[in-house]
Amino acid sequence: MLNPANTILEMKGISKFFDGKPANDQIDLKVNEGEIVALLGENGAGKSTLMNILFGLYQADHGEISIDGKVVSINSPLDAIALGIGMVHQHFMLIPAFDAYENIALSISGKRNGLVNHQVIREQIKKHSIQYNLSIVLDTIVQDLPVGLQQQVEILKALFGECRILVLDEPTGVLNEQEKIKLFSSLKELKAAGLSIIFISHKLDEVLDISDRVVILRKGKVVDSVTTNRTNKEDLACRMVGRDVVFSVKKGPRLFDNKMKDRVLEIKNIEVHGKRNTQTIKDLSLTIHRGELFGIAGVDGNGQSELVEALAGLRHVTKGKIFLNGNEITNRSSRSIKQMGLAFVPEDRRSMGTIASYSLDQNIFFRNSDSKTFRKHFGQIDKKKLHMLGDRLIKDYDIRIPHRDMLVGQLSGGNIQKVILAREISSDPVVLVAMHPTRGLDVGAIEFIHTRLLELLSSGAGILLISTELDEIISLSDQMAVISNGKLSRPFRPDELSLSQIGLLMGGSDEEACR
Amino acid sequence: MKQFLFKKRENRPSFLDSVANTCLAIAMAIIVSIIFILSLGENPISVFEFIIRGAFRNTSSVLEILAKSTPIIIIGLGVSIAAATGMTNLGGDGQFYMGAISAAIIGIYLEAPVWIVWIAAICVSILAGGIWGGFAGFLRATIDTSEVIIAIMMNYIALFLIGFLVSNPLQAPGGIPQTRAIPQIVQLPKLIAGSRAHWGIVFVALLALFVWFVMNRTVFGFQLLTIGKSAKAAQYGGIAVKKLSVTSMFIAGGFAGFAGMIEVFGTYYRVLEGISSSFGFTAVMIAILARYRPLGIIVGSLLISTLTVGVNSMQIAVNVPTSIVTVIQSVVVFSILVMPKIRANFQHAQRKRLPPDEREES
Repeated sequence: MLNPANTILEMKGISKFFDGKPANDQIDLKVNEGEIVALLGENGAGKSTLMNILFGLYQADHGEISIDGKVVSINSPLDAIALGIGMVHQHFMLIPAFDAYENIALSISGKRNGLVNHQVIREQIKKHSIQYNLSIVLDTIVQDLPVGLQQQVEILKALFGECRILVLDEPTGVLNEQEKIKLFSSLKELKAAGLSIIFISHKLDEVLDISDRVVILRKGKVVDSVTTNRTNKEDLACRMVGRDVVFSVKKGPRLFDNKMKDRVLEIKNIEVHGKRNTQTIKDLSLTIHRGELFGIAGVDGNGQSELVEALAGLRHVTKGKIFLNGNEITNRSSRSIKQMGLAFVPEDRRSMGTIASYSLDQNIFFRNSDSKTFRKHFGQIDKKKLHMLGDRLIKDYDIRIPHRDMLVGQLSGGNIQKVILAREISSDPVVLVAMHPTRGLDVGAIEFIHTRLLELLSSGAGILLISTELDEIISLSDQMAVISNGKLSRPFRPDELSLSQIGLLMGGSDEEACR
Repeated sequence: MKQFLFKKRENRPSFLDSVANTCLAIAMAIIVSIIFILSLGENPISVFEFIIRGAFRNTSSVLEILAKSTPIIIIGLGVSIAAATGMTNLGGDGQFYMGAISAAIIGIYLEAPVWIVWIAAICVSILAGGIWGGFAGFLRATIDTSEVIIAIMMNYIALFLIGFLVSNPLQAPGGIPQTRAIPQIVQLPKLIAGSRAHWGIVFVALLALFVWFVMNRTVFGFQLLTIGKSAKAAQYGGIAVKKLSVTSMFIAGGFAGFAGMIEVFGTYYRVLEGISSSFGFTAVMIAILARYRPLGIIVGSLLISTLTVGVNSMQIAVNVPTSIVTVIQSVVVFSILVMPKIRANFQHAQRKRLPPDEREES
């Protein structure tokens, strides 16, 4: 055991509010010298916010940070670096067209009055990389490096400036198995050299493998802090997903039971590539019947976005087939998929689901602009009809809009989501794909949206619900599955597996391990 | 009845704001030109007096203003359509040249009734300019090159192509690098005999009305605007983003090509080198200043043309070079583009500090 007197970093009572909602709520965190602390939690638990506060990207609304027992104020990343804090972001902050050396030199050249002594910096980088067992090819352009090596460049960059506390935000998300092993051995070297490391993750195996201590965050609060060798996977999974919200909306009796076997959506062995052109979704299949809600749980970034974009015709499907109501829709245009009856509530409600500088009517119309319903002679928009539809949706969906000309961007998140939901459901869909439909909303709005989804089910449509809120998935789904690393678990009924078993699936274990 | 809910103005900076910005810009332009004139040892007040008097000295000078603004307005209207989808059409000059030369070829060689020649010339000039502009848009939509750079490069191609054509295969007898004139019968009639203004200006008014109608009333205009607001949302909305982006650049090019036809048939009756005195750039500038509103484009073009006509006659009386027009234009553009940002930054600094990701959005 390390001597607890050697506390290097202490964050006390940190709170941070976004739009009045706490992202961090009275968080305390202590890190000792030469210790690897894992911050474990689901998406939106507040891990990244906390670390961004530490690195000076955000300023805390309350609370204080002390380093070596002295209270410090960190107003920018420069302050943080000066205090010996280095951060490796989830998405690398490297300049792709520069080589590795230039990227590292860039972060330190500012201190030398604009003059760079390449010889000295080169020597220093070599010294560091040998010391910490980091393998770097300095003269390769960063964008040509494999992701794992890019990360090593990031780490090396962070180590400059007398780094004592290294923060790694989801460092393994982009790595393959070998790169991960390499990273972990580097981290152990760094730890042996006396560095303190904060390791953000939601993957249980990794946390157990690398950390000395695990701090579990949930909904902006520290739930627990445990020494790693005194805990196990089940325990961590349970604490991570937790359960404290009891949903008031319950599934009622359905008009359509699965005996009807009308398949409204069928996905057969599709493969979809993600942004980095890696294979993000592998051999994924699922079937949704009439009046059925299929829920997909999982931590963000495991292929959910790619899946829904592929369904909506916004991303290319490289293998496999998708059928909507028996008709193939694989790689058709988003317009024809929409017209064939697939409604879609995208995850990004402000920049994709709506156009902030458009009015409510215009926001309804941009998703229906080819429909003949709102077209008059000379290609004119039938604003009267559109206005009437807007009126009806405002009433039916209880959209709180002070006046009709108001831009949708000025509405609250809940009302924006109601606009999207109203628009999508009013198109009378065969299948509704809803991604994070309730994220960040208050309880009232969540309940309203859940009620609407269940109503849609009873009208015979199928729903694919994707959410990181496990409670939501469990309470609404007829069938559910967990997505992890682009792979979907076998479908199961929500009451079939225990919470910790589901948590294990979300943490990347395969199903045998959960039994 | 509250039917007209698509209040475009709501989506833009408030009316008062843009008026304030424009006044500020004009004030700055006046101040800078006063300094410029003083440095030349002339009296600013008398120079301004000469400019205004010169512009409005008689009917023919007023008609000259109309004639000068005609091509700029047409190209500017096209620029506003490209801008709806987020494209900047800086290729107006090249497209203008392509339209002019193809219209001239029709005018010179097509022997047919007048109205057939006109229609053919209009169609061919729109097509030629449209292809010139659409190509830049096509490359942007498919391989994400900058349409600005491509269009500027295409300007040079057109410029040298015309230079070659008017001094070689299409050169009129006489050794001057220009084409033959089109027959008198197909030339556009003048508004008033002896002036430079022709019936093209009437076309322009109708065209502006048409552009306003398309952009504010029709599904097509709405789709273009939606792409400009957010291509991501437009794609989600089922709008053919790539196709319409290319189309908008094709239309912008087509307008510039049409402007070339109007200049050939209404003013010069032939193509010569230097027929466009950077109409394309002036049009972009005016369109930006007008915030892409058709009426604003007309007013802006008339103002700039007034200035040009006034300065040309002022130059005869006072020892101030015509480049003062460029000075005034540049200062106006500079202040219009920079002032709102400075004001916004100033207002922003007074607000509470936001986290970085929110700051980017606002």
